[in-house]
Amino acid sequence: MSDGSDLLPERVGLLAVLALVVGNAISVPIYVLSGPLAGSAGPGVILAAVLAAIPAGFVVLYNALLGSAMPVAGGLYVYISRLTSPFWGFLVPFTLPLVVWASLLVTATGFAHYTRYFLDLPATLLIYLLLVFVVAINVAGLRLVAQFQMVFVAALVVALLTFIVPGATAVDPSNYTPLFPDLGAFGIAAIALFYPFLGFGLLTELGEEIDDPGRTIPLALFGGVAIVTVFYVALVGVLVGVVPWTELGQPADLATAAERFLPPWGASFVAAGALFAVITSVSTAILTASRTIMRAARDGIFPESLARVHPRFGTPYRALLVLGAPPLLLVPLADELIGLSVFIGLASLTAYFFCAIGLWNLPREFPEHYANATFRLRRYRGLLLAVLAGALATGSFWVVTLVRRPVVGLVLIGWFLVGYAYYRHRIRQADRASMYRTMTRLDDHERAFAQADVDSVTMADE
Amino acid sequence: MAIGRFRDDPEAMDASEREVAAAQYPEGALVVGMGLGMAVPMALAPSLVVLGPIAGGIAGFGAGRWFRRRRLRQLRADEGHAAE
Repeated sequence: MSDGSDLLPERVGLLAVLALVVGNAISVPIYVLSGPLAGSAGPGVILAAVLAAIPAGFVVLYNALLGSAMPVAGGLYVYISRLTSPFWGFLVPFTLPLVVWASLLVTATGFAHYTRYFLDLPATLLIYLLLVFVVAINVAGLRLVAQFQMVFVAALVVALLTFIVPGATAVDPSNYTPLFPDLGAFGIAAIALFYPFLGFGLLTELGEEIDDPGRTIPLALFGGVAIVTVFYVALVGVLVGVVPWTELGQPADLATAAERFLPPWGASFVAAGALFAVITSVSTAILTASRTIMRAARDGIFPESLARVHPRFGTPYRALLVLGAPPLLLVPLADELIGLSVFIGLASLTAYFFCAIGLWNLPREFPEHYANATFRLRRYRGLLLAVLAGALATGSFWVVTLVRRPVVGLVLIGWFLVGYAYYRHRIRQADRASMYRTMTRLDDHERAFAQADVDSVTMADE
Repeated sequence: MAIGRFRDDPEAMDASEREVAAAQYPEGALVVGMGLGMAVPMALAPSLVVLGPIAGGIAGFGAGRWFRRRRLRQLRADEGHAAE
């Protein structure tokens, strides 16, 4: 249990949180995945983006409810371990490093491709430079990252509009046929495009660091998903409308497409936007995941040294290094953009399925917290529908993955098996009953959050 | 611990129940069952690659629950012998 001494000291407001979330969600798919996905799925990638937004909407709902009811660092891990079961919760921090490594590799590969639009440097060198930069700024502190993020997101939005608005006038409608040249690739595209929406889920991992989380988290989530969906559909719509899909397939296709309707400086600006986008997304992914690992370490299910906060920067630097350093060894595996994205989408939605079960249990297990949510659903209507929809979406993701890319599913389940062995190892090292109790209870200050709100309502009533 | 309903109340458990619950047998067996249900069809019958994990997961979860009950009975029996 924490006594609060290792809580993170810095706090951020709505604008910074929105920038963090939109920056993470909007960047990687738009610049890195659009070309490869359009090159395999054809114009149907536009509908795949819409399809991916549906489970993403449910994920937003889960996050908005749980995030406002129980704002805690390490959100998904805490929600699932406390509300569903300790092992499913444990799988979140155990699997998250793989998701982050995959995310860093995808993004760094895209960064290299777009940088080579300006500089003729070796792609591998550029990937290493980005990975080192990201670890360094995350260890240096959240506020620094958030300040970077806001500047980069602003530049990114301008670059996207530079592509979308003039590009919409250059669309050739004949490029939209055939809409579905490969249905299987269309399904895979929908799963891969769920990956961008991961940014919304990661928001709740920052619960302790957000000002007025009960209001900020739902606003940032719903505002963010609307912005991202509109931008994403518009952008891939212009991409496949301007360039025949058979000519697409590279991570830097946006810059190439921009050359068809923009002057050279305009295409360069679009490519520069990609560089900002890539930096913002890797910053957020590693930042938020580190909080989850830190929280699991606080509980004792991970080594306690991972919970240590840097005395000067106030960041969980050891957890950050666990997340940021291994990709430096995995760079040679970075070419498989779609496979890595499918892994990220599948692992994430599987976690959210367990999160949905936790949401179903929330009113029963922690009624005082559920009473604090900014909005609530009836258990046997809205909540039940949300859980069933999440189960349907997760099942669909698994079926498509097993049919088209069974190795991805096997790797994920294989990792879960390794996770069970490690879980058993950790609980054998501790007092089992005590560990079980820890992983099913909230920390004192988290319980106090609900109590404080109840007290403030009581005082206002008086 | 029951998926889809509500987990057992840790505060209401005795020490043996908590120890058995901490091992998470049904969850672990579900993962083992899914893994086998995926790996075996991939090697022998690819057409079963979708049904295999579902059947394996259900069978594993059931087996895990059975093993959990058995383990709890064992622990209680051991406690009984120790008390005598």
